[in-house]
Amino acid sequence: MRDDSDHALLERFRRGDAAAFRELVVRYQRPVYNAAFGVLHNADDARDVAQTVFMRIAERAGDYDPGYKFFSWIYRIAVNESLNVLRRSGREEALDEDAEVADPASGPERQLEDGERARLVRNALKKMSVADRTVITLRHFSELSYQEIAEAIGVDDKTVKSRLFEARQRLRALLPEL
Amino acid sequence: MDRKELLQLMHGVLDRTATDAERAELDRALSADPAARAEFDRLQGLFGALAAMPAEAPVGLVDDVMAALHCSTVASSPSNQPFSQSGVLAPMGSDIRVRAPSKPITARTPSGPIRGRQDMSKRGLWIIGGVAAAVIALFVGNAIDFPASGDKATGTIVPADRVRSAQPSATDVKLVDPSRRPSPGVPLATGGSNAGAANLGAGGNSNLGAAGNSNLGAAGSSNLGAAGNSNLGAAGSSNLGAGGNSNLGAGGNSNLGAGGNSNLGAGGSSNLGAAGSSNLGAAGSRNLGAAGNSNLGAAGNSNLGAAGNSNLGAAGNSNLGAAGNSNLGAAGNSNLGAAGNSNLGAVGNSNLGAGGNSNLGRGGNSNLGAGGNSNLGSGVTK
Repeated sequence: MRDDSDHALLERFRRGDAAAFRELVVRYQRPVYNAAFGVLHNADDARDVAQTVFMRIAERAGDYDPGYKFFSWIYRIAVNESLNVLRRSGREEALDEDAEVADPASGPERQLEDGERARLVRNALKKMSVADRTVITLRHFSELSYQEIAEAIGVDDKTVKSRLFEARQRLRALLPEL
Repeated sequence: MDRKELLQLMHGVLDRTATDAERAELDRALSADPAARAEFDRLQGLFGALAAMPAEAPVGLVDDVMAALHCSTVASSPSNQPFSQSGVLAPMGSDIRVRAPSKPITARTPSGPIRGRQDMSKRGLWIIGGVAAAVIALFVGNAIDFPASGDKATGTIVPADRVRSAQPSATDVKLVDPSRRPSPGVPLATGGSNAGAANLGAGGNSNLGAAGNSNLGAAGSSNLGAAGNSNLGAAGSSNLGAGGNSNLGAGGNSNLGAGGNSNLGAGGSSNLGAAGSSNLGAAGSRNLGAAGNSNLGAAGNSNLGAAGNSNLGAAGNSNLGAAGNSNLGAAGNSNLGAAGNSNLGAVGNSNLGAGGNSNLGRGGNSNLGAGGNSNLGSGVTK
């Protein structure tokens, strides 16, 4: 149902209805931004990537194949754009521990609300590989199913399950205090 | 159920992908195993922490996207003015960044494909200008004879005197007495070789197919197919198919088909066919291809193709192609091609091509091509 609706919004946008596109952005801004932030761990880069993703959607609205799920398409673009940013900045490997970790909402109140546990998880994720961060982000922050993750990153469901298991085990090892 | 399977079950339950039967199975396992219960509780903490992570979109993103979309539409609108901003140089929509008013506005340089909305009258002006410039350049070039042609263009390029030195003469070259040349045997201590050589003492390399290295003593590598390395002592790697590494002592990787890694000492994973993983530290079994088991701790069997066994600890057999055995610890046999045996520890045989034997420790035979024997330690046959 959601895909039908997404497709309908995209069709309306193609016919010139900007409000329909705005609705798509509202609908997907959070998961797209968090997918990018989970991979990049940089609020400004994640914001840029999110904006790029929606602009690409606007540019390629005519290329969208309704045979595919809209959210798979948009997540695939988000992951690829995030990886491109990492490549351009030479940050393909695990992030430097001292690298900037801007919180999505970096105010002091929010930091307090996040609490120590969130800070520990965020620091541990920084130390992980891009591949590990990507699957964990898509599963736990973007809340995609295994099949949706598989479609987004171009592997099969079993590979997603296996990668998630290994990534979580590594994350677990990085968080002995939890 | 081994530990990994139990952990996978825990992940499945906590990730809400387990079936009712799997949940019941986990409950039974946890009630019978306090250590597993403690592990489950710790994993539950991890899943809880991930679920509690704040995930929000930045304020104003929707407005920024819509503003960028508007800018993109304006920038790409066609113009009929001859010298107006051309669509060729206009940034693509996705190159435009719009931030909230409190933040700086940035625009990236164009990176996308050239767009198709160029104004034809402007393109015509550029074409006419370009042709005119080419005609002028041709006329001027002919008038002043530039670049130089005919006998004006002859000469020799030589290096400057400051970078020259005396050349070696015939008396500068000393030939070695042929009777004092080293024998063409296999190096026993250290060394490496290209294709078809093996170092069987301390360190060295052995190429038994295309290219590769094989160290069968301390450290080294062995290629038994296309390319790869095999260390059968301390550390190393062994490729027995396409590409990969196999460590059969301390740590390493082993690819026995397409790609993968196998640690046969401490811990690791082994891909033996298409894809897969095998923990070869404590004890366990895996099916690696069609069917088979691999015990890589005490004793066991490993089928890595059709049928066969592989003992990588005490004693056993390993079939890595058709049929054969491979002992990589004490004694045994290893077939890495068609048929044959390979002892890479104490005594044994190794066939790394068609048929033959290879002893890479004390005594034995080694066939590294079609047929034949090679003693690469102390032993017997050539």
